[in-house]
Amino acid sequence: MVDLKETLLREKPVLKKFSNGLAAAFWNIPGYQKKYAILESPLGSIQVRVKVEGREVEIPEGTAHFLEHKLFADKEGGSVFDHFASLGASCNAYTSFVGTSYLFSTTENLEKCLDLLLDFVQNLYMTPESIAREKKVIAQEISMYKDHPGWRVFFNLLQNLYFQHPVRNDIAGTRDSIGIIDQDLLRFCHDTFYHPENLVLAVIGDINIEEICDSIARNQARQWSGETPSISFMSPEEPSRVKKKESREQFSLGQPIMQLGFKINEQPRQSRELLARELSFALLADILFGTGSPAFYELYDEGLIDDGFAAGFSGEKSFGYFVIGGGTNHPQELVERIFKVLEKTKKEGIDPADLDRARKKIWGGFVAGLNSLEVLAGQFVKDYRRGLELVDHFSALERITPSHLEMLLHDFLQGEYSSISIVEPPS
Amino acid sequence: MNNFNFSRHFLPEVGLYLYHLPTDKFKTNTLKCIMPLPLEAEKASANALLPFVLYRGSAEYPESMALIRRLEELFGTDLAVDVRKRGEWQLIDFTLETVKNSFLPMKEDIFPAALDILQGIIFDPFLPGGSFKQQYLESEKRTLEEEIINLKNNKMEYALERCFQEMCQGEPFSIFRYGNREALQKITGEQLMQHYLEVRNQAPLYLFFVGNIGAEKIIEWIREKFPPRENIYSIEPNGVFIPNRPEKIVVEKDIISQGKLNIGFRTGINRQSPDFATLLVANGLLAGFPHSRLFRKVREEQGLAYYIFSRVESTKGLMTVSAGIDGEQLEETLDIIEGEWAKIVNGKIKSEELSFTKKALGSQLKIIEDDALELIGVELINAINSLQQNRRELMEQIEKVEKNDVARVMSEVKKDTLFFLEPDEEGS
Repeated sequence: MVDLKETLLREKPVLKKFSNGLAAAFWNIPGYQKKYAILESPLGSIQVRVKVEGREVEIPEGTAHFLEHKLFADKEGGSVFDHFASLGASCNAYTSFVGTSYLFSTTENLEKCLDLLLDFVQNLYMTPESIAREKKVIAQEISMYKDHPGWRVFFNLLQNLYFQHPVRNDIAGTRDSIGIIDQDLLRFCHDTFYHPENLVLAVIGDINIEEICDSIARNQARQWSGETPSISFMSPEEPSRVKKKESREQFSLGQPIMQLGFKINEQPRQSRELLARELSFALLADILFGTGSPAFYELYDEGLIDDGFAAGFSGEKSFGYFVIGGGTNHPQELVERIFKVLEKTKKEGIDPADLDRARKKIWGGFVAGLNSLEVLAGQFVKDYRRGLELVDHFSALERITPSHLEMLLHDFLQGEYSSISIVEPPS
Repeated sequence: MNNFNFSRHFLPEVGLYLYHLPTDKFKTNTLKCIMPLPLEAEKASANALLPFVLYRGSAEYPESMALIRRLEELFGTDLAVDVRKRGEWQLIDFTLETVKNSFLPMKEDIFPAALDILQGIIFDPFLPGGSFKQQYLESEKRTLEEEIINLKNNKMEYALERCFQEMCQGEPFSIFRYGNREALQKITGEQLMQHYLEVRNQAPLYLFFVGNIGAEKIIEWIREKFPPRENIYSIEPNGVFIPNRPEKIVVEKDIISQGKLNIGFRTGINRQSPDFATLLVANGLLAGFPHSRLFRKVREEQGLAYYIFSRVESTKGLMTVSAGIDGEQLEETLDIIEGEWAKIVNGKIKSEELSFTKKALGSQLKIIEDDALELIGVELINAINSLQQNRRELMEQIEKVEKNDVARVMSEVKKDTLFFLEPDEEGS
């Protein structure tokens, strides 16, 4: 075997912790025009109950996302977009279940862009008027997602699977939940979750690391930083059973969409185990339902699925789910057939040849993804939070055996932990 | 960035154009294989169906599962098939991406094997009894029909497609890239076979390669693997025109939460036009970026929309403005769009926004070099427009654009069709 560590070492980042606590990683990747940076706060949509300095705080649904929008205003009420545009850069942001990320890409003025990114994310400016206007914009964003049947079938499924866990909430919240967001709440969240100690920065491209580090150090010396707040995110008591076995929603669309979901209880607490679980589920999904599986073209040629049919896992330490589905004219029949595949595999076990093929496929896909600076930097931030490195993915992938996958099948892919979500055209 | 231009090679004996860009920058080798077919109502569905049926099996791998498994064995070599529309061309598109050997456990050389698979799919399909396997034909007809029906699932895309249909009624551009259900249902095995032979023998192949294998090597493989084809047609760029007729307004209702507005414009400008760079700047000023006029006014100042943007279709000479808004805020939004448009036409353009836009366009053109598929996408547009323009020339032209150029070009762009997908009462 080739020593991949050596091959990937070329792309190993330089890590740095600034004196105020900001963590950063820098890669010099010669030959790229684009220079890209991403700054992440750990405040995501599922952080709705936290303990800060021993005090329990409730955060309304959609607050992380609202704060993301609000940070884009500057001191004068102007838009951060314009400042990036003046530097020839473009910026964006997104909120996920577990964090909020701010990013830009540019071909020039990297140091100025970094100053701008850090300045706007680390300083919150707002007025009651600007908050009211942003509520209108976000209401439109919520409406836009409401018109996506794929989004609805997925969030309906999460609402079926979970009683309490906030992963069941829409990332943007609801028109009602964002209604109660005010300046005090946003200020509290910003002081707490955007403290330098809680932020992670990654900068990548054809860059001079030393110069950039100096420039960031100067920037950070100007930033406000109070006491480091002690935070613990609280997960609600979540029963292991599912809340609802099935949901159907009518929607103006062509063909029904069905998702069968399994609630994965008892997620690993250790990062390496969590990574192994993610990869194991990805392999299992591919072996059982990928285009190279016996099931795929059988179901396809019987008219039960189309080429959008897919399976996959997503999870963090406090939640996990495995979802199978896609567009289908026969949702019930498809569910039965999926269970037959699961039962058959439980009996017959996983063929090591299938595992090897799936492993090669995931390997290739992972390497291909690393062509993108955005993917590299995003992967770093995710790994950093978990205390992992890029090469851990390859070594974890190597270690997985058929019995790992068989264990997942037996322990988790059981009918009692499953739920069905269907979105269908009006009858 | 001069190093990032493709070399062009014509292989008349196999009817193939190779666009080759050697680079060590990426971890993969990427090959896109395009067959441009004229967009015609009678043939669009068969054109669209063909690549999906071909992808089901080759003479070497007659079973779909075996074919896919072979690709998976090659470290998940990605072979994607689709049908696109660029101007009035329908493009059959096979895209192959293989991991370079230095990133594989045993340094395996997998590209030649992947190229064999692609060649087999296109030129040596599985034809039991001289025709496509009935099961493959039926399955792919059904899936494609579902794709056509499911256009309705993506409301933004649906509304844009409907805007183009209304705007270009009677012109080939109004045809959906997958054709239509009725024509699709009627296609028989015999007809598709006949159609395949026509395409196989007459359609030019455009191969775009980005990676670390030399052009000579690829040409050698092509000569060895691809069949002779001497009677291929050549392609001509589309013309552009601005019809003289009153503005068309179409409102369609759907049970949705948010209205989807699309306004279609005729620019009269395509890539050959001397005003092309100016049109890019004008589009950027209007709504191409988050610093643009409409994003600022409609979203940042009035909070009427979450998304609002404009785009240029450069082969057919069209421009569109798209926005998601509440049904009752249509008039208010349209007033703002009209108002900003008029200001630009009257030359009320700030130096600052002009400079922001030029910088943003320059940056977009530069970072194309960082992505193999982006590089190929731009070269493909050049190829079907019979252009050899490089990005540096375009950047220089953009730099020279002045306010009065933008005002003049915008005054000639004509509003053609407004399409609004309006939320029905029951929607909210």
